Amino acid sequence: MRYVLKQIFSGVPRWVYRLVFFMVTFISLHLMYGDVIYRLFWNGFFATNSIYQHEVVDHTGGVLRYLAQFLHQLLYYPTLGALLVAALATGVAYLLDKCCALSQLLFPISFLPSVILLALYTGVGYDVYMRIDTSFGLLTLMGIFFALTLFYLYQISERLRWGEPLMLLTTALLYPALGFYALVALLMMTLRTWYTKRYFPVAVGVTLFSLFALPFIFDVWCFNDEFNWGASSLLLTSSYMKLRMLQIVAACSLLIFANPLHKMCARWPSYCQMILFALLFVLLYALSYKDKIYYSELKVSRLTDECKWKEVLEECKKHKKISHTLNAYRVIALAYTDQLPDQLFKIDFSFEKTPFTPTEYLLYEDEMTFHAGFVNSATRVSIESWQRFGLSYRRIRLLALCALLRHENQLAERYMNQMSQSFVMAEELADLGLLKNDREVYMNKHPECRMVEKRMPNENVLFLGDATVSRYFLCFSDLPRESFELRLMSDLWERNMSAFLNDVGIYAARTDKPIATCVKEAAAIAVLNGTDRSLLSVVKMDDATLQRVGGFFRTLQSYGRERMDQARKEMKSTYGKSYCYYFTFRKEEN
Amino acid sequence: MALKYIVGNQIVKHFLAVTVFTLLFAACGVEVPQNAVNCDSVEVDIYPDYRDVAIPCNIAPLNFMVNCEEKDCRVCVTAPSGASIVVESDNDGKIIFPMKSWKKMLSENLDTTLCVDVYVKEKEWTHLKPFSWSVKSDSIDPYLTCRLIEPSYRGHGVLDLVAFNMENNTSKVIASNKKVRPEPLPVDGYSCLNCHATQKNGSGNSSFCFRGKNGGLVVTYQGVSRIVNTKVGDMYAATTYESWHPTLPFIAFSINAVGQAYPVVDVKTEVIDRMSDLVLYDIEKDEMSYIQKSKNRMETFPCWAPDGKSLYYAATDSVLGHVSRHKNLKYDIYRISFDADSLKWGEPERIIPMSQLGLTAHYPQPSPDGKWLLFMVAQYGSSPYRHAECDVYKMNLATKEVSPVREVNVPYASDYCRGWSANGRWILISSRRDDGDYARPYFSYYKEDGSFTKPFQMPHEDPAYDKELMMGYNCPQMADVEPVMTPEKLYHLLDTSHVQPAHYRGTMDIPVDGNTGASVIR
Repeated sequence: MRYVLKQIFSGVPRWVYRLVFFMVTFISLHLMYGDVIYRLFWNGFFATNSIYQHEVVDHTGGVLRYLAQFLHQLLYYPTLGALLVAALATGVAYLLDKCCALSQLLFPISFLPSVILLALYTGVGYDVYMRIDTSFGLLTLMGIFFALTLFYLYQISERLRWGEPLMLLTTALLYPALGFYALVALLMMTLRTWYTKRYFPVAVGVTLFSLFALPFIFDVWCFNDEFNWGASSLLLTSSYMKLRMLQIVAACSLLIFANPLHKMCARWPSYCQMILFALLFVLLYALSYKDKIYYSELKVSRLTDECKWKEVLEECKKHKKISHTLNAYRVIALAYTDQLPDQLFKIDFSFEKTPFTPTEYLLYEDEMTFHAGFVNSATRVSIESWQRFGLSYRRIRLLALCALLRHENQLAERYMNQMSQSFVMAEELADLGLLKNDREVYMNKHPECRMVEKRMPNENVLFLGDATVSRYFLCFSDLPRESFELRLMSDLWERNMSAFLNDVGIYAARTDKPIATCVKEAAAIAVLNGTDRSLLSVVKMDDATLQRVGGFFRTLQSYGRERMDQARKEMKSTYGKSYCYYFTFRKEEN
Repeated sequence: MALKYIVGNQIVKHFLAVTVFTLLFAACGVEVPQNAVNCDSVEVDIYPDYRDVAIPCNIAPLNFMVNCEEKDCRVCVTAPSGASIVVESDNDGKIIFPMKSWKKMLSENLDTTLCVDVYVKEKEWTHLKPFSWSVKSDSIDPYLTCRLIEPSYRGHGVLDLVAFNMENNTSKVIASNKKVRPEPLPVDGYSCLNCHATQKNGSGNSSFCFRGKNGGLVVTYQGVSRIVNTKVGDMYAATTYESWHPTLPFIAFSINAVGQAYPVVDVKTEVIDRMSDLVLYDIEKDEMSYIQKSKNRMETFPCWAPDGKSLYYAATDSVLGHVSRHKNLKYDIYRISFDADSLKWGEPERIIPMSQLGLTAHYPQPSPDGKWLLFMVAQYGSSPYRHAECDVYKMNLATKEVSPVREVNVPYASDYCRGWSANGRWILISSRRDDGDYARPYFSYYKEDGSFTKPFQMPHEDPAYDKELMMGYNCPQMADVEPVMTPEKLYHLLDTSHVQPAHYRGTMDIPVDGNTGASVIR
């Protein structure tokens, strides 16, 4: 048996492993991380104008960064994006195998750096929202790919006279274009000279010169940056720094210990190769971000872009407890499907905590304010995000849309001009162009924008800084009919009974729909708290609701103040989806 | 710099080099199309709009883009003498004049009018309606300094103070916050850089404010730069808007307790002062004293008269109270006399009571010949530079007659005057006429009769520059000499300076109550 296995596995050619790695990577990126890739694209940016080119290219490593941003555009098509990333990762593994000449047994180790690099996509987590430059994944993959290519060429050059010094020099000269990755290639070349005993002093000399003099020449003199800019700029800060270091350590360890490791493992059975290969995918899984809420948030954000409201609601229903972000998209979807009063409080409002709690609103503030009809505020939020996190397709598209809705066509053209410099934006531009040139046709095509336009307030109100959508609503003496239901629901959400009492009469008079149960329950609570009973007739109160509210408070009373937590747990099954329950048990921090 | 040119930006530089050579080569062989169909009734649509403008003799080439579907264009600039420059557009319809020929053309045709003929080719060449450039022998200040900033609210990204050389279309960064900003930025930004102002006497003395760690007022005086903490004594804020005395080492400042509000419907942001007063900084004595410290009046936007014997400013008696009453803020233009020998101030004199007309007046800018005062008029507000209705007005200081400067205003966007050239022949207008949000600098020629010519936008080597630039030109100022500050000098100053507060001369010599003129100290 052992002999048969050995025969089978030792006979599997390396290209089969590479093909399997490529296919598994591509499929998993495409199927499982499509929303991550989608968001990474929309949070990125690329332009061809000279101002932007200078901004990106006039730094050490700028050419590589610009190239990465250019290719990052392909992520607009998640399939193509996944294909590109999988191809680059496989390419890195191939080059590493070539460079290290690994034995058949240890060959799967060549995939290790690629797996760690792929974790830049699978493990990005909430950084996907906040990255200044979302092309970082491609930048790293391409940087390592170029570094390994240079190292491979260096090995080939060993056959030539003066080949090694020439390659060392060429690599050093590529420092302004490749930055940090040219230094990585030089370090690998120096390690190699340690083994080969050829040109060791030359390699050490060139590397030391590159490490200390080149940054001074290029970063300080040419680009007016810090001494270590070139070395550090392409290494992103925070958690990615650790990941990069892990990957560099893995690659260097491989170079140094490949041969001793091989001797040590030579006596192992060859199917260990397969186990080693499988373990890499386990490692990839271990490095991935696993919070299900996070993936749902990305998904509903994409579905919201596509105005697939039913799918948004279905995705939210998959979770027993949802996050504030998921709830924000859920509210937008409920408002567009006319279910807001009926469904708003039918959730578990002990929200899941995310790494952004309590500043989670930053993730959805622009969309929430936009869909609520506060186009000016959505513009402000987008510009403030732009200043903090950089310009992105997502922000610029929203800015153009807001400008067009405000009839600021010249301003929209400025933003659209920036978008037009990306070769994947043609469809988006055609859509925005339709709004500019034929508003009615656009509005028929995008009923959600017609609704936003209808919700835009006519009265001007000043805000001094950040405000929640609920606060916005509260500040207007009157609002368009399309917004009034949102305002009433926001009163109830905030448990602001005085605002509710102000608004409910107007709402009841204006609405052509039956008064929702939550509104009736809120009216009953107000009456129980001493408001005039005439309110009951305003909301066309029915006996069933009155009895339910009465029953809720009688049951609550039986627990007494000291057993509120117990009441909260025990009454959940009966009253969990009622407004009374929300009104009584929602904690302040929510 | 040479090294930077070679390696700094290889792709772009190579591309530009190839383009320039191609253009030069093309320019040599380009001729006016023969047998072009005359279509004089069709106005040519160009960006920037340089049609029929007056231009200074030292201005860099007015490169422009022809907005038409046919990207094959030729432009012929002809002097009365018959000399001409013919240029062919590149693939994007950009017309870029060779610097040498342009300079020669201007210098040989002072106080004449150049005729500009534009030809576009679809199937055959068409000659569109020509326009003219009136070359004035009066030069313009060679530099324009400004802060480049997104049309922002509270925060900002990388901020650069930039000096544009208007004679050769180059630019350099004077100061930047690039190295002292964290990423990502906090929402309210970090290390703000404020307006750059110069003393217009060829001295190169200048100042700007750097907020943040070890920051303050960065003053360059007689070639030496230092940082001063200008929030001293009982001042409730550091110095804000500034004006250099024309000859003496004084800077007049306003100090503003300023806030911003964000209207939901109307203008995107409102700058609202809660308090403001005027102070004088004596650079040589490093001493700060009040000019106006009044209880019921807010003073702002100081600007010295060209003789340095008086100071113009805007002030309002409206007390803000709640921010929602910001539409009640109506400012008038005042003048206060100044005796440089005794450092005494006279009584404030209201010279333009704009509030009586229900309007507000700001940014007084007296002409160097002492005949005119330009200022901004809007409906309301402390600093309504984003209001679409904001326009440039002028006052004849002899007759006190006030009128709008129709030649430089557009009805749909904000325009206001940011100052005069040193020779008093050109004015700088900050206008948002491109799209309502992004401010761009324009220049207009002041004629003897007190009228102005159609303003022209500051030229750039790439005529699409202002279309592509996703920042506004904030607080633009003309400068007669090249600013000496550099980002490296600023960083060095920030690293090495031990910032000390200026000396505080205590309360003002003649404290004035805003309403009565009686001596009152807040």
